[in-house]
Amino acid sequence: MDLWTVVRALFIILVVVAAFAPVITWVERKQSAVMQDRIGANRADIGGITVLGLLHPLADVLKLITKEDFVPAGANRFLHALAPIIAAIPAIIGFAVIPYGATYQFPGHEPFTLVGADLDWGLLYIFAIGSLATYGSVLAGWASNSNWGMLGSLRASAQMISYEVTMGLSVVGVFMVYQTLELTDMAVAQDSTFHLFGFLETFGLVKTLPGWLSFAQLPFWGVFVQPLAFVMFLTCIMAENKRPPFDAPEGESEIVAGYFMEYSGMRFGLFYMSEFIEIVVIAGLLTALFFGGWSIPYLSKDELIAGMTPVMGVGLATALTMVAHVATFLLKVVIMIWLQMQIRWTLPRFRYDQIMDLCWKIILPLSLVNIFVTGAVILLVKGAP
Amino acid sequence: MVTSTSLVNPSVLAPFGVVATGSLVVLLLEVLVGKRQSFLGRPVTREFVGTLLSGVSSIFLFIALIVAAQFFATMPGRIVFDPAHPMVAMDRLTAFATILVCIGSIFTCWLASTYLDELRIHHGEFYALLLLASSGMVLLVQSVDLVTLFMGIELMSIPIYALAGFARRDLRSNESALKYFLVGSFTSAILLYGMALLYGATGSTDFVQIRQAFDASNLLAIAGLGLLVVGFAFKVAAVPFHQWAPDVYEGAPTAVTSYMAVAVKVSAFVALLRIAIQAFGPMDARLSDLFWVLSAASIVVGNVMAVIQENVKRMLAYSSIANAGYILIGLAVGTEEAYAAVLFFLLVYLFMNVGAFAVVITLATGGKDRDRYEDYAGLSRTRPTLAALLTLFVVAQAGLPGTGGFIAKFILFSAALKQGFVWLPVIAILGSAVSFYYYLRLPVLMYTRDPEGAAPRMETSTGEGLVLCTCAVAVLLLGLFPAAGPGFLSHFRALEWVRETVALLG
Amino acid sequence: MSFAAGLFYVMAALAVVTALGMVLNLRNTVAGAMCLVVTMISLAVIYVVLDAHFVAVLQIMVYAGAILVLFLFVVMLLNLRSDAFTPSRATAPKVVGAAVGVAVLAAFLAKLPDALPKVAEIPADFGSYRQVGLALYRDYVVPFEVASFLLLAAVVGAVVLAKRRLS
Repeated sequence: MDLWTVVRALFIILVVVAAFAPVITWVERKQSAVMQDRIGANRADIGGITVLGLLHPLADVLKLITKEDFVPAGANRFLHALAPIIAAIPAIIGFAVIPYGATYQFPGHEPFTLVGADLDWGLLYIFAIGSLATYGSVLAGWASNSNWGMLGSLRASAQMISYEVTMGLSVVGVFMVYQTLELTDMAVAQDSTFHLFGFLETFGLVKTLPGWLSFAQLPFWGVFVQPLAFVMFLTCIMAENKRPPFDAPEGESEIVAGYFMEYSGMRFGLFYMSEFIEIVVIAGLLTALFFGGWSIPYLSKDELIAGMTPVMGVGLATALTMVAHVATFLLKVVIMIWLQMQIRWTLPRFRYDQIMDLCWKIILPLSLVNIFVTGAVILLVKGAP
Repeated sequence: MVTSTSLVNPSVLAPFGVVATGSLVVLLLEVLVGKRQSFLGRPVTREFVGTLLSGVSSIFLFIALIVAAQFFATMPGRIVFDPAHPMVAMDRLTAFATILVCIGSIFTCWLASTYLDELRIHHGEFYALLLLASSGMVLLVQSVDLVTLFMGIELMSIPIYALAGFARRDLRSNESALKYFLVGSFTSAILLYGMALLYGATGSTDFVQIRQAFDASNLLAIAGLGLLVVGFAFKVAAVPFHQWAPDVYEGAPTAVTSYMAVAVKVSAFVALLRIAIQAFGPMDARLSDLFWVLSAASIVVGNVMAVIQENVKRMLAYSSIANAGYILIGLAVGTEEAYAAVLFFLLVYLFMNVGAFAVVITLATGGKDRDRYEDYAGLSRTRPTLAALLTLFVVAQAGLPGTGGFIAKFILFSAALKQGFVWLPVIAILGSAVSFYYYLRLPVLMYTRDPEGAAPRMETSTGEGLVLCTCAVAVLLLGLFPAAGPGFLSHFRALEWVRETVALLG
Repeated sequence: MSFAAGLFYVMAALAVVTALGMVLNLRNTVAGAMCLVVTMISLAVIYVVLDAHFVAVLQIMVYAGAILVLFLFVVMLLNLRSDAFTPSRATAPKVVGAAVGVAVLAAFLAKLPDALPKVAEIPADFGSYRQVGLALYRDYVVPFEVASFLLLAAVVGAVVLAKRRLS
């Protein structure tokens, strides 16, 4: 465990997670303001200089730290203090397996991968960590000794474990296509392109693909080969995060604040932050699974390095490629965050029974159908073993 | 580890597949038919749904029975599913046990369709759960691997937990289901722990490989074996693991009680037999001692406790504990002749017990069971045929010469005596003498007292009649002509069949 | 003592302590369930020490993450408070049971070190999801398929016992 590994892990967690999360609170305010044709929060200032409202996250943190931190009478003090921590930790460490760059080899050094931890079973780690995050919400309401809290906890626990099931099932199709659970390998697999009309050649309708059709190439991204899985996974993971339209556990108009009603000050701040950090993790996960991760469409890593090497040498070419890949990854993450914000501010809250119906009666059968169809297509294309 | 598909024998799983498919069909049928107004030209009433579902279930069970009988008649040796990893095997013992399980399940189906109507219980998923439990039993008797054994036990038990609580409005039924579920879960945990220890000690879950690698001085192996036997003792309600049986048998709907008392015991004993023969060679002496203790305790406690019961179902529960004790004698003795006697006893036990429970079911009316002794007073005046049949069945259980029960006990005790076991047959004969008392209470009540209380049900449905006739004929046949009878009866050579079955086990 | 052995002892002690905490904890059901969660997680760490990574992740994902949340859900739904349970007054069965249990455990543990099997050679990719998948779908395919019927039986049984309308 040398310094370089630690730096790689800390980079993603500190820079991306800790830096993005407060910015996202600003994004939420401003994006919703733009969508709702208003100005949004812009009053926080330092010495009269407001920076388009970018100081509001700082103001939020200061306010939360200085607020009174109370524990309601009759509450279980230990669990009440433990719940926000259990909710926050999985969100923060979830980003550890998402690759933000490819494997690079500088001349004279060992090849290294830009990822927090290169695990064999990378995606399962995220599911496992996500399933532990459930306890934060479940215990929060119970420990509060409050009716609204209890109702919010019950809703949260049922919703989260239901959507965990469908979350796993909807990405099975992605595993089958890319034949791996390691997110790093999946990003590498998505670095290539495939012919859109290649199925004509596979089914023997034409001998070889004519030139004018073989131009239609798409990057081998998850969203193109598994569109249904993308839609289902997006739904499930937004429900897992309890973001609107799935925020029945914290339904403000029904059960006041739901499971974190009896929390104030920094304890509430931890819940609040963990929800936004999880938005970043979700964005990273969507990018890694469905949008090629760090890969630039139509320009694979080897092409890039090979193209730039004659001009500036291998070392510099690799370094520039690395920077380009990391920038692409961050750009895609930003787009995914924007997408989640759009959905959040467009749709009204679903009713609780609608949420459960959606999971068990619609998404679960559809994900099973997706698995069957994917398996059939793979069998047809690659032939039986 | 690569297995070419040509070596796998899917036909081994044919009976299991048929019964499991049947459960799916019945489940869907109940959904599709239950909501309609008429089906196949008949109006859909509750009785119609019950008859239809029980008929379809019986068809699937018959098919499985015929497949198993085909195996039994034509197969010399054993075929396994996959020679590299034999999970399930089909041999004569499996076929024999499958036939018994299917017969027991068919009888339960026929009895249940009328019984559930009488007790005003909605049929619903009764038959689907019954078929799932039967498929678990079929898998259990087929398994030659610890993992499949566990799956079979679980698949057998879980539907029966639900079936025991099927009379939802009855508190005793709820209690029965809860007790059975809790004890069953403990049993599964104990079994699993024993299996884990055995796997750790021998390095494999396959019975044959366990036998080869079994080291009798290894603590882990002995502990694993002990826990495994304890788990099975729970399942068959041997003493001192019998506390759950009387409450569970009394509370469950009587159709389910007969299923539990017969089919569960048959499949559990056959699985135990297979384990004792195939998996634990070098432990034979110590295993025999273990079975000795279990058997003696069960006979004593079962018979003594049955004497003081006031409820017929509880009495039958304790009598089945005592019967488990008799069967364990055969396992304690451990010779081929003893195993053949065990199989014959299981065959006779099936018909005797189902017959006795069938009479209790046939009398149920007005939303209640008639299971107290007073309900049987003077039955010979109101329902003479039923009284005669009940007398036949309890007398067979007691072991009167001329009935199957006598032959079963006779060959069992003589096999024990031949091996030099003296005390065990003595205890068993004393126990049988005691059992005469509580068994004969019923005929005495029926024939010498006047009828009291509400009148019993006067009609017997077709299904119940069929079950009663078949059981009575079987008990008499096995008692009078166990080996080979004259003329047409020479087709039923029960003793010969069981002897062949055991001889080919090896 | 290597890092793996030290980690094992710590996790084993944690597992035993929290398991006892769950069993002996009669006052607070939720605390008992949380003790069980910690037991499951420490078992998962022990699996990782034993090189069974896939099973460790499954343990957390399925056991600690889903099944125990369901336990907590039921406990909270039924609002099982401590005063709902009256422990039995008879102390003789408890004392005798505890004594017999401790005696058997002591006898078992005394002879255990001689009975442990030798450490086996493990292949390089032991415990990966590929190996587990191959074992599950090739060697143990029959129990695997039967497990689906088992789940069906459990679901049907649960619905039959708990549905509201008796129709």
